[in-house]
Parts: sequence; C-alpha cells; structure tokens
Amino acid sequence: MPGVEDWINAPLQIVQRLFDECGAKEYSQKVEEFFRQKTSTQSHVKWIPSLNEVPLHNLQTNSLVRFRGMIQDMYDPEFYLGAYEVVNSESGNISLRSGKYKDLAQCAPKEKVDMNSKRNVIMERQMLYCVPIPAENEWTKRVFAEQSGKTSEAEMSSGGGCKRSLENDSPDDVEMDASKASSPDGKKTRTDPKTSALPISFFLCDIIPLIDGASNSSPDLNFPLPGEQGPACLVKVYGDDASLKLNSIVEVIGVLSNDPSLANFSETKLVIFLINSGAASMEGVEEQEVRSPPPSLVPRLHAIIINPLDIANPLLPPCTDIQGEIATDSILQEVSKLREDIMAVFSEALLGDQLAAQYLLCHLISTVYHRQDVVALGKFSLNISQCTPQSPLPRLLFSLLQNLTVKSHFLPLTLDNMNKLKFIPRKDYSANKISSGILQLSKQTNLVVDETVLQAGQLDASGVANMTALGNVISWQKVEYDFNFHKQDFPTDILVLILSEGKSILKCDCHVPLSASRSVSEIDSIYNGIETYLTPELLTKIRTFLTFVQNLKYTVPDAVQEALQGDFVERRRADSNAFSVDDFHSLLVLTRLLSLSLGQSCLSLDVFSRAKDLEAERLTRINSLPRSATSAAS
Amino acid sequence: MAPNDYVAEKDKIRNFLAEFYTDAEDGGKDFKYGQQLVKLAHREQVGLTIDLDDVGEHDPDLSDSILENTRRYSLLFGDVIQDMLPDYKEKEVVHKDSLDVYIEHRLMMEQRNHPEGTSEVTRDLRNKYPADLMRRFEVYFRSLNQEKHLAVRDVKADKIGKLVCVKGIVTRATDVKPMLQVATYTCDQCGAETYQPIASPAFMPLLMCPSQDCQTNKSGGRLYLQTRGSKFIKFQELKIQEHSDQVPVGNIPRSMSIICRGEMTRLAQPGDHVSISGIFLPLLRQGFSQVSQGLLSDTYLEAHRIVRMNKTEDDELIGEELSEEELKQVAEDDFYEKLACSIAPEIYGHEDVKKALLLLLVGGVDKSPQGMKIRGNINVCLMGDPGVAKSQLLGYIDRLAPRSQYTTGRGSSGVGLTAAVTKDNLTGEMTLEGGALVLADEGICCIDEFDKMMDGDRSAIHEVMEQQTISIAKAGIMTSLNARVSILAAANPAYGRYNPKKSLEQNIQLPAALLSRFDLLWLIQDKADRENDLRLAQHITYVHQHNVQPPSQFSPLDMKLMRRYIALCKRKQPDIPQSLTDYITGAYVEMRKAARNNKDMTYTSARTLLAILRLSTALARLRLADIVEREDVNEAMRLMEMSKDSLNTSQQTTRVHSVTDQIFQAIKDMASDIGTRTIKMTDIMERCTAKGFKPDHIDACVEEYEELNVWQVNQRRERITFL
Repeated sequence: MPGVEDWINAPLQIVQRLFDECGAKEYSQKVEEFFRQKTSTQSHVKWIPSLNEVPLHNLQTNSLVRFRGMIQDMYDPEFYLGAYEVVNSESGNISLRSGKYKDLAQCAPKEKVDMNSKRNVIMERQMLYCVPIPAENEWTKRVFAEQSGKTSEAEMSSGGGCKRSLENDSPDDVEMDASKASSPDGKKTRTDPKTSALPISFFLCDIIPLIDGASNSSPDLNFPLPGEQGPACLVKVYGDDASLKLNSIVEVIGVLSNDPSLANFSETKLVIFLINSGAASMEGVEEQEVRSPPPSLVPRLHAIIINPLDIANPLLPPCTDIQGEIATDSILQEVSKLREDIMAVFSEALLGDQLAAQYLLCHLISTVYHRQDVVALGKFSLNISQCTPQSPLPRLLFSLLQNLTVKSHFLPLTLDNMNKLKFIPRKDYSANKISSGILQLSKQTNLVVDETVLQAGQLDASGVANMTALGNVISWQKVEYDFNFHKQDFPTDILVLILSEGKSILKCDCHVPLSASRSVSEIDSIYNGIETYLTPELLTKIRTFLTFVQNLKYTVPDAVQEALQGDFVERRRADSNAFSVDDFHSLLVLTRLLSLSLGQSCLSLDVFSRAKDLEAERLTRINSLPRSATSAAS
Repeated sequence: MAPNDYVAEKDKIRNFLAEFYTDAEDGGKDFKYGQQLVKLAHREQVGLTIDLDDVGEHDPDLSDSILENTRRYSLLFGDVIQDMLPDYKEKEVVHKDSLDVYIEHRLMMEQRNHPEGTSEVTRDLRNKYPADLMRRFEVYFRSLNQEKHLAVRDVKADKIGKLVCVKGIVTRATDVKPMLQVATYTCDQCGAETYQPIASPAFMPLLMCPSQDCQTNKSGGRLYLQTRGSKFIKFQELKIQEHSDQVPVGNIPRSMSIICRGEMTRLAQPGDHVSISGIFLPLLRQGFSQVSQGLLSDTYLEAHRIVRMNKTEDDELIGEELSEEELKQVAEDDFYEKLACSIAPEIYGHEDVKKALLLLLVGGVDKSPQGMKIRGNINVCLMGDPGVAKSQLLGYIDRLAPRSQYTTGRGSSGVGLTAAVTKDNLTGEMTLEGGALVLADEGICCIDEFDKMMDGDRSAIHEVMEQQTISIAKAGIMTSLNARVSILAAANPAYGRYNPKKSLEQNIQLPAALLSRFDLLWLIQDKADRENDLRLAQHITYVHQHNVQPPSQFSPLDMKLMRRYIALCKRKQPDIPQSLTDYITGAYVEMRKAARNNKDMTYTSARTLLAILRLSTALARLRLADIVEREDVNEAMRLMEMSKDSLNTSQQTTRVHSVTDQIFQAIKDMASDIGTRTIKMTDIMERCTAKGFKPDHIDACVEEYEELNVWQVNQRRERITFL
C-alpha cells in the first residue's frame, strides 16, 4: 500500500523493510533519514495526527503520531532486544526482526521469540516522561490545533458523537484493538472483524472517555501545576542525545504504542519469590506502577524524530525560509505602532499608570540570555506594589496576560497555598520518579504572583522552603531539586511578576509602586473596554510581537559601551552606596529590554537615557512612598 | 584462542593460582593465592579476591578474557579452586556450622556410593551434588588498577557481561536476607535427596520425586524442602545513583541496581559514596512475565568489590604524576595568579584573599627543632560586611580541599569541634569520638560565623591552632589527639558593619589571644574606587554584550587538576637558606618598629615572624622549589602588609588620634571594664603609664575632658566620675 497512508499508519513495516535491506548496523540512521525526508515540509507534518489534539482512543497503536510536551522526568534507560529471532514452530523458519520502535515482539500465532538466540542484540533506549506544556494558555493550544489542519479539527468536533466515529472513521482501529485484546502477542491476524469488533468497540468507546474524565482521581500523572489536563506520554528515545534536557519542550514524531498488556505485570507474579518478603527486587510495586502506568493514561511513544521546540509560540513565523523573512520584516515595520497599542492597553490595565506599563512591557519580553557562573543575565522580575488589597486587579491583569503570552500561571500567595502547595520538585526514591512542583516550569513561562491576598499568620517548614525556592527563582533563576541526599540546581527561566500591597517580601529586580490615576471601582468597565479594543487581529499581532522581540539579537556598539562605563564610574564617584553593581546590572538589562521593545536590536544612547529617565522616575516614586510602608514591607 | 576451550582455560587458571607469587620482603616468594587457598581450605576465609593486575602479570590473555566474560570465568575459578582445595588442606578442619557437617556427610556418601566415579553416566543429574552446594568460598574479581570509574550513565548495553567499575551514592539498601542458592528436597516415599540449583530471583519448587525408585515404582513420592540441607547465601540489593558532578547539566541523575551476595553484603549504607566493580548482567526472568515483557530486560550489577569512599575518592588519581600537558597548563609564567584566580572563579576580584587561601591549601613546612613543634599550617580569618561572599569562599575551599570539614560557629560546641568521650551503653566502655577538628586532621577546617561561637567553646580551639593537638583528660581517659588542621574562619563584624574607627578586637569581639593565632586576617569590604569601578563596569558591559567572559580573563583551572597540583606541592619540603635569615630578621625588626610608631590596630608579634616563614615556605612549595628565595619572603611580607592594610585602610580618612584621644579611649575602656562610672585616679595612672603614656599627658587629658564636661573630678583629684 504505497503513499501517505503507508508511512503514517504502518511505520513499523517500513522499519522492518529498512532493517532487512540495510542490516542491523545502519538501518536506524536510514529510518531517521526516511522519516525526516517525509516530514520535511509543514503540510506533510500536518497529516500526522497529534496526541495533543486527537483523543487517544481515536489513534491506533503502532501508527505514527506527533506529540508536543515538556520533559518532566528522565527515567533510567531501558534495555531491550534491538534485534530478535523468531522461530516458527510449524515451518521451522527462523527470521531476524528489528526490536526498535516497539514494546512487544510481533509474532504470528505459531511463532515464538527465541530468547536464547545468539543473534539477539541487547540495546538501550532513553526514557523520558513528558507532560503537556505546563501553563500553556488556551489560545496557544487552539492555534496549534488549528495549524495541524482540518483532519484533527473534524475529529475534535466529533468528540461528542462516538457512534459516528465508530462507524466511519476507525473501523481499522477497532479491528486492531480487538485482535490485540484477544491475543496479546498475536500479530495483526486479520480474523473476521464483523464478529468480534462490535461488542469490543462499544466497550472501547464507552469506557475510555470515562477513564479520561476520571483521570484526576486515578494515578498521579505528575503534572507540575494542579488542575492541568492533557495527555502525558512516555517517550522512548533511541540514540544517545545529550541535548535533551529536563524541562525543555520537545516535539516528537514517533510510533504510538498503547497496547493494554503494557500495564504493570504485578498481578501476574504467580511464582514463588525467593526473598521472603515477596518483593523480588527492590523495584517495589510503586516503582512498577510508575514505570508501566496503564497505557490508556500514559501512552508510549517511540521517538523517530525528536526536535527541541525552543520557542513554543505557534504564531511566530519560522525564521529559516524566505516567507519567514518577509513576515519578520512586516513585523519590524509595524513595531512602533504596535508598541503604542500595547502601551495603551497596559496603561489602561494598570489604571492609567504609564510608567508601570513601560516596566510591564519590559518584563514580558525579558529572558535569561546568558548565565555567567551563578548570575543569570537578562532576568527582569517585576514587583508592582501599591495594589489595593482584595481588588480584582491581579486576576483581571492575569487574564489579560493570559490572552497575550504563550504560557502563564497565576499563583495567589495565600498562607494556605504557601504551606500546602508543592513548589519544589522532589525525587521520590520509593517510586523512583521526580514528583513535580509548581516551579518545574519550562522556559519563559509567566508566573503572576498575587501577594495582596497574603494575611498575617504562621508559615510552617514547607512554607519557608517554598518561599526560599520562589526567592531563588527570582534572584538566581534556578530551582534546587531535592534529591534527598543532595540538592541539584536546575536553571530555569521563569518570568515572575509580583503584585503586592506594600513592597513585596520577595526581593525583585525591579520595584514599581503603582500610581493609579483612575479609581479601582471603575476597574470592570476598564477591562471591558480593553476586551473590545483587542480585536482578534490585534491580539494575534501582539502575541507575535511579544515573542518576536524577545528573541531579537541585541548588540551594544563600542562607543555606547564606553559611555555606559563612564556613566557607572561617574555615579559611583558621586555616591558609592547609592549605585551598586547590582543596580548597574539591572539598568543594563532594562536598557536592553527597552531597546528591544522599540524594535531596535542595536543600542543607542538615546534609549539609554530613556532607560535612565525611567529609573529616575521610578526611584522618586519609591522615595516618595510613606516611610513606614517601605520599612514595614522590608 | 578457541572460545569454548574452557578446559585449557581451567588449566591456565590452575597454573595462575598455584604459581603466582610476589617477591616477599625477606627475599623469598610470597604465594599470594596459595596462602589464601590454605585459609579457604581451613574455613578461615570465605571470600577470595582475584586481582586482575596479578592475572594480567601472569597471563595477559587470561585477564582480558576475564574482563570480557566475567561471569563465566567466575564459575571456572570456582570449579578450579574446588578441585584444588583438598590439596591445600594441611590439618583437620573444625566444623563451624551444620552445613559443614552436611557437606562432610555428603562427601562420604559420594565416596561410598560412587567410589571410582564409574557410574557417573547412569546417575540422575539431580542426585549429583551441585557444585554450589559443596562450596563454602566465594570468588571475587578486582578489576585493573588503571581501570577508570564509569558514571552510571556510561554503563551501556555493550557492557553487558563485562566487569565494570562504577561510582555513585547509595540511595537505597535492602535488609540482608538469606537467599536460596541450592534447594534440597527429600522424598517422603523413598527418602532420596534431590537438589535444585537456583540462579534467578524466582523459582518453581519441585513437587514430584524424580529418583529412580519413585519413577520405577510409580509411588508418586512428594518432595519436601529441607531448610537445613539447603544452601542459603546472604543477599542484599542496593541502588546507587550518579554523583551530581557526573550528571550533564539539565539531566536527571540515573540509578542502577546492585546485587550483593555473600561477603559483599553490609558494606554500604544509604548515603555512602561507593565505588563498585561488578558484572553487568541482564536479569533472568521466568514464567509468564518473560513472555509478556516481550523485548525488555532488566539489568543489574553483580557486585564484586565495594569500596566506600570519603572525599579523598581521588586518592588514586592524586598518586599519579601530572602529565606533561597538565604541568604545562599549570606552570605558566603567571601560574601563581592563575592558581589563585581559579579559586572560586565566580567571585570577582579579591585576588589577594584568594592568594592567601591558596597558600592555606598548600600549607607551610612543619618544623620540630629539639622536639618543639612549630606548625606549618596556615590559619586565615576572613572578616567582612555581610554579603561579601565569605561563605562562598569557605564553601569552595571545603569542596576543593581533599580533606576538610565545614561547620558553623553557632552549630558546633567545643565538644563537637574537638573530641567527645562517650560511654557505650552496652559495654560501659569509654570511647573517644572525634569532632570536626580531629576529623579534619591533616586537612582544613572551615568555621563559618566564628564570632557567634560561645566563648567557652572557642577556647577549645586555642590549643589546636598553635599546638595542633587536642588534649583530653576526662573520665579516666587522658590522651592527646592529633589535629593538624589549618583553620579557615569567617566572622561578621560585631556591629553588623566593620567600623574603621574601632580597633580589631572591638570590631570582632574576639580575644587577642585567638586573633594572634591567625597568620592572616582579611577584611573584605565593598568600597568604591575609580579604577576598580571602571574595571568592574567594563567587565559587566562586556558580559552583557557578548555573553561570555572577557577574553583577557583566563579560564579557571579544573578543580581536580588543582587538587592534584596542590598534592604535588605538599610533597616538597623547602628549606630557608642561611643567607636569607638575616634578611628576614631585619624585615621583622622593621615591621615591629613600624607597628609601634603607627599605633596599629593589629598586632605584630613573634607569631608574625613565624607566619612570614610559613607563608614563604608555602610559596616555595607552590613553585615546587626546594629552597625559599628572597621573592617568596617578599611576597609573604606583601600579603601580610595587604592583610594589615585591609584592616587599616579607612584610617587615613579619619583624623589621626592624638595622644589625648588615646588616653581618653583607655580611660573609657577601663570604665566599661569595671562597670562603674567612677574610677580612681591612681588606677588610671597605672593603666595609662603601662600603656606607655606620660603622666603629664594624662593630666592634660583629664583636664581637657573635664572642661568639656565629659567627666567630673573630685576636689582632691583622686577619682573621676563620668557624667
């Protein structure tokens, strides 16, 4: 069966063909080349169903799928038979098969794997536990779904009509599952589908959505943020790719494997164990459960192609081809106009505060662009103080940001939250996994912290640890994962925005007291106004703009650099205590962000003086704060 | 070599075991394995460790094939030793436990039933004694010395079946449990014994008697497991995880299961750093799970050698000579600066402090003229305002030094630092437990927040800092423990910030006796000066623009290389030549004079002279030289000067203290010492003249301050009262 269907629905046949043709040594490279070539154009990629959008029960096992997610954990590598010999007990034929990209040996009824064969080769593969991108905003998901084309949309819409999909779309699917269920190690035995298919297909369609719906109460899928939804996935990576890092976002194209028999085998242990306690090895039941969760919840994905997805904004034009360049130019042309729009929106949203709006924009486009030993350059956490307590402002502001940024999360800093929520990821040795925490977020996630809801009260030990962790993220952009015997730093890039009443208890890079020119009571009408102002086209543009300028290249000409240095020395001479090294760092960062937000990738002195003016205005505001308020807060 | 010619291999092994010897000290031959075989035969030893270095010396081919196929060879060695043991038996062996008795009975049975081994062919295999059952020894391999330790993540599929060496931290250890190695059954009908060797974690018990009697009679004899006749072996499973430094950035540490049998059990506990060599094997699965598992297989490491490591894990490495290339990397012209800057490279500046720390790591030369011991270790105290990276420096030194202890002043009592005598509850015996200072013997003890220590506890350190011993006279134990440590202390100024107008003791509130024991005292301050600021600004703007370190800056040396170079330096014992002694004494006299004139905030005492000597020998060591040169002395004096300067710098900006001021200060101190507001004039005279002030000056001072209404003098002018 040539054509598209072939490589999407039966990739393993291609793998086996290449294996037979090229031999065990070279075929894996050939496989990757083959599929890379097939997926080289965007339109072809769209043919592959995406796990993020298509429900699992509409996908068939051993077919090619896509998945986009964040690496949450890395398990120990798995050893498997990379090549195995199959003996047919009837004919006595011996054949060698490839063991890659599959979990179960493919044997016809009369065939048996010869475990003792000399030609069996043991190989290893990396196991990555991936979760859907945490804090990904609705619009991002929607745009991704729209981009993957009409097929998935149709399937999404048909979510309610189970019957139709049963009859029209997936007879193949049903048949496969039916045969699998009846004979776990049977090959695709094309027995009469009509007889067995119906009852089982009813079963599948009715039960699986139930399981999906109930997944909140069933095994912990280890999502960093509470209340997240979406498919988790166990990605098996072939080849040793050290570039895959924890918390990075990847796009995987691979072979789906969700055979029910992959669930844990604990109940099948009929034999007597030698060790009295009954646990044959230290891999206790808990660890088994983590390693082999029910495939209906966590499907396995055998990665053929795995691409890091550095910028997870679907709107951004790809920077490689010519189309992308044109799009880039068009954005650059509109920058000043767009910036005005954004400034208008932000200053409205911040109750008419122009200065805070400037800082908010700079904050949103900040990113850690370099790490010098322990210092993370480019971070720009923002603290907007003087927010009235119990006002709806933080929530409304967050919902606005949610609409503009790619990934965002809202964290009300109540005592209860601080004491009870898990912030720090911790290694759980009994299950041998990393139990996630809120701070396990991918790069450039916006974290909005609402400190106005904080009340006086008791902070317990975990609360203190949580606060320290949050403070570390703000000041070093790192999270110390708790490995029980030691702590390990993982660099992060989380944009923290704190809205507080007085100065925040967490020390931010930049503190702006809000000076509202409009009263809080109008807030609902203000935000309604903003909503109508943000037309879909404008939204799309702003979304693109924010990610675009964030990733612009930035240079400082030598002349400007010297001016900066001179300025620093001058200020230090005037008063060494008033202007510290850290102040200089944050001024440079602000200058950079301001320059980028203006669409200028090359710093000019003009922008530098603008940044200095902003800082001066901010400092006068801080100094004019009532003394007691600042000292109480600090 | 034919791969399956194991008979020939057995001969090789036999040869090796019987013939391998090392030259003993007395000139004779030391049959290393022969002697151990005797012990094995007498049941005095259980584990026999075969050193692959020895095998390699004897027969390189053999050691190679052992490395490649370790499991097989471990069985072969077992067979060969079993054969050889009777020849090594020199006396009758006392039976230690029931299994020994069983074995002897079985051997006798064997001889009676099958005297010549003629009926071998006709015998049922199950009735033959499995080799494991009769064996009371265990064979272990120790891999080659030059074999590198692998990280857990480097143990890949191609290592299966081979002897590998891994390093890691134990995260989990099960209890030691008995594991069945050979199951013995008896039949309830015919009484015959049946044996079942077990090699996998699970087994299916035999039910029906396979003996000839039962088979022919069809009596259907049932088998029952005999616990006493079976052979059990100690069994423990460990889980190790990679060291954090072996994990690439952004990855999760990997772990690995280790199976320990017999003598390898109970060697490690969770939290231990271990180096384990063993055979990397796939786990055999039996029964249904094998089928459903499909293509997967679990792996484990069968431990052959477990070594617990402390921080001197690189001991073996340090033993090695530095290679040409590495020496070249170190020994450039500016190697002194380079080495110093490689200490805590993430902390900008403070070159002199880093140099001092480098010398502390290297240490001076110990001297013991006529039994008097003069320490060579260098003690350094870092002071400074909060937040000037003192703790980071301490932490870095703690990590860098091969042997070190890190404590904080608040967290350790005098007992915790020195040594404690404790009474064992069970036996009532007294035992000594070393504290941080004892544990850091021949190393470095980093004490953070030195100022926050209780006075009583701090006094325990006095002895350590000069005599380098800890004496204990307590509960019938009188002893002196070695504590040859360098102390690196960090202290915060008493009033939060260093007050340059106050003296050193007032600033840190440490007694002079203790302060003088520090060779170098550094005050780290964050001050503004134009040149420095400009350099800083350049640094920062450069980093911001290019995202890299400025090119003029060197790349810091690797921590391991530093460690090895320092170890190399420590082997040198440089001398101070006669020609330099005059120079040094001259310089010292100058310093004393200068100190007297300047009314210094610090001390210049005989201890200062010793400190200079120590620093200069350390500098000579750093050059890997055998003789101290004039430059070394100059650099040592420069460091002393700099350390003093760091304490005195801010002086110039304040007004010079006049004699009157100083006398007033002295009187004020007296008042606060006594705790009253009234002081006798005679006391004042006594104290001030002792400090070297002239009586007329004192009178003038009293008068001057009386006019200022600071104090009142009574009419007879015999006491003054502060207002």
